[in-house]
Amino acid sequence: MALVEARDYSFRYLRGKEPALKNITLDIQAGTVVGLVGKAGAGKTTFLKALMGILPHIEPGYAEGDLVVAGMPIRDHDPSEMSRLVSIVLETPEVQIFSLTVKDDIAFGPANLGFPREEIWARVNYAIQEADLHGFEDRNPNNLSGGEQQSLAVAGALAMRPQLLAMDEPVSMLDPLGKERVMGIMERVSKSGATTIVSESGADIEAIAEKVDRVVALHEGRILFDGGPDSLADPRMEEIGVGRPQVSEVFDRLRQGGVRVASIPTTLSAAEEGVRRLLGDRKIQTVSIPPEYRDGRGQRTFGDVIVEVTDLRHVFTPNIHALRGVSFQIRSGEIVGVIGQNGSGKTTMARHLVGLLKPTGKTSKVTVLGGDVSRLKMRDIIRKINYVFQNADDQIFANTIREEVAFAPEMMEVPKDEADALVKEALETFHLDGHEDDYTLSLPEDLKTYLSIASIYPLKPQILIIDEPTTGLDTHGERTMMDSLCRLRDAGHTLVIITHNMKTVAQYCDRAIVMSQGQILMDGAVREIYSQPQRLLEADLRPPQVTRLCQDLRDLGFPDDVLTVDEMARLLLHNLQPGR
Amino acid sequence: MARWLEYESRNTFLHKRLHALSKMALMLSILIVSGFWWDPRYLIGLALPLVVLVYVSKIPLTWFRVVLLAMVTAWYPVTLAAMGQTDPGIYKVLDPQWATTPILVYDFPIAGTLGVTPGGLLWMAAVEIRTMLMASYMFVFIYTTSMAQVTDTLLALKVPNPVVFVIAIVYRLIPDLSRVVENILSAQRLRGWKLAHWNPIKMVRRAVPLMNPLMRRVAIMVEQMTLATQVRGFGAGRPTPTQEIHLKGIDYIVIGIGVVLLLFALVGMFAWKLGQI
Repeated sequence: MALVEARDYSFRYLRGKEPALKNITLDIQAGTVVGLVGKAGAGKTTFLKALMGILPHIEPGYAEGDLVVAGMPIRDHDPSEMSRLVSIVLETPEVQIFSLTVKDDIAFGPANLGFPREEIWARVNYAIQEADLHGFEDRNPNNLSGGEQQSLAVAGALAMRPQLLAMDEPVSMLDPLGKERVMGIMERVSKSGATTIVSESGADIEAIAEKVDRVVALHEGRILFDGGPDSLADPRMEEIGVGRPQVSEVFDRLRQGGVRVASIPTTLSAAEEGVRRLLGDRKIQTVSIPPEYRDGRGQRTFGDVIVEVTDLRHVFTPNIHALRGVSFQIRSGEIVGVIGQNGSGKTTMARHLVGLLKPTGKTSKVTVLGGDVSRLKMRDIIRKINYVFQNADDQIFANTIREEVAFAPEMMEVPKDEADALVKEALETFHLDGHEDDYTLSLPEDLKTYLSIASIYPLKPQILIIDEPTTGLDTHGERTMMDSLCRLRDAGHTLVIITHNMKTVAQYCDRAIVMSQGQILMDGAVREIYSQPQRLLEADLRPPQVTRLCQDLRDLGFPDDVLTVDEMARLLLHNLQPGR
Repeated sequence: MARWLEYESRNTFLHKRLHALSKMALMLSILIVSGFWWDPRYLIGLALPLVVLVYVSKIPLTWFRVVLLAMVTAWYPVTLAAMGQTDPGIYKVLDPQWATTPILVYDFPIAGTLGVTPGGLLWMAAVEIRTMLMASYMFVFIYTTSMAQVTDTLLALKVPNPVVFVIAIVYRLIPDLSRVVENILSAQRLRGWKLAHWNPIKMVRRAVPLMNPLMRRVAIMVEQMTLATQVRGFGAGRPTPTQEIHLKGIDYIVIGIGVVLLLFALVGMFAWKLGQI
């Protein structure tokens, strides 16, 4: 008997117009790792919540058909009963961490299930071992990195000894090593016999590809296809907005370019093997590098220095050194990516740039467009440089989109005619025209992010700092967002993007600043930064999959600094295309 | 770094050597006694052990800014209430006539003519000191006692599950709320927002950009937290306390001090009008 049996299962939320899940029929056998892929709103989270009994017991709605987990129909069992069989790990780790020490938090679940004390601590030890949290037992979860926090969330779930572990985009907020850490735990758990379902909307499709042995693609609440791990290379992944692993895209380009490719790989190792085979068949021992394979980023020129940070230091009470002498410059017209693990000081640094924090170092200085930020009034700062928070819910308050965008001009007492024109321009720039009167409460994630940027835009700051602009977006949403930001750059703005997404930095940024433990570890052109994987590792970072593929093929003459799928495809086609 | 009203694991006497039950007993006694007493001199006496506890626990002094802010904010209504303490019957120790004779009279727009009396001034001082004491002792308790220690102790004391659950949620929610408020304030300041305005009606209107996202975020947080607890088995049965109550000698001494203080205050209040005005 399958562990999960769904038969024509549909679910519509109480206030939903359309069912979020439509006629889902599938069986999931014990011990498998299933990747549940689909863009934002496809029904992934709804399905995972249904498995736990959250639907319809906590979040009410109308269910049809059958959904049975380990022989228990979920309609008859609420989450507290299902928690003996199923554990769920949510996207944001801090939501599910409950206690103030690591070991207490792991013990929370088994204690709730009423196990004897000895059993509780045995389970805690088991989970600490599985999640590789030795030495963290007495630490405050708030002081852990994002990867460690998510490992703790997984450990809390494992301590319940579930038959089914459901993970809802568990690595989307994590730095690359954090992602690897969590995916490693998932692999160990599946080897121990538990079934794992992990959802993904695109940004981390490469991480998923390495671990799953089955893929179920959801689109608009329905199963679009259900197959083996190779189906992540299915062209329909592009059509539904999820995208494919970078290596799959490269091989697809080769096929389109007339190169005979036996199969499209989805993992790094398979891609490396595939490239070696293709080159070996043509007896190529060293690839030739065409001069035009790189994109034109290296040739772009920038204007004057408009941000200058000197010896920036910040110590939080009691004695936490968040910034330890950070110095850098930003030139007009640049897109700068700021990367680093959680807690490395990225956000603290950004808060200094807009005057929300004052440096604690005596020689620290932040100058923006010639003005010393510590001496400027907030009203003057925000017209020069502004900052868009990661969580749009921290900002949005008005009923409608138009009111929200009109708020900043109103506060700055801009004359009405001028304010109306600014609001109109902001709505158009961020694709919100046509949505002006939509209620802000029920906006999807991408529109919320656009709205939070659009509501700053009427202030016309020359420099915009945007914290995680693509988090929560699927691949299609991410591309649209970044294209919009590039248009802002073309219109004369300078952008600083704080992100965990290495692909975004590779694709769109001119320069990267790598932060680690409150210091700048590296600062330079993205190409130069990504060509030093060992130094990146010091900040828990790894280059994107396509860059790593080239670095793994260094012995064949591949350059270390390939950044995008386009570049890799051009390079390979130059060497492999028929007739060469 | 601990956020405001958040436990921090540190190696202090209060964190590591005193059981949550003894801290609860001591704090509860002090809070009850501070409610009995109206003489500011006695209440200041209760502040002396507080200074020691604050020093020993290494609690961030920035936490106390909120207490000062609350005392300053409450000054006006407390003063008005103090002016109302003109019933001679409430003064047990002071000469009622002296205590209720105004030393300053002022004509207020709506409240009418009110006078400042010596008794009223002492009453006001007592309320302010008590507010400071209650908040500060609570801070010391929260900073030095983890949620697991509190819930384990309450479960061992057979406190009903729903009560323990509510306490656990509050314990978890308040530090997060302080972070959310800070983020919302920053996000709105970056759009030119400021709360202060000479016109009180406009000031209330200007609170909307703070209150709306805050209420929305609180609703989301409570929903997420409820979900997070239920998926981790809360409500599946009677939870097991993860630690047994093991009291050491020092715990018995501290609980004893609390009980003696409470009895002394009770008996003293009825027998010798101790701490009264």
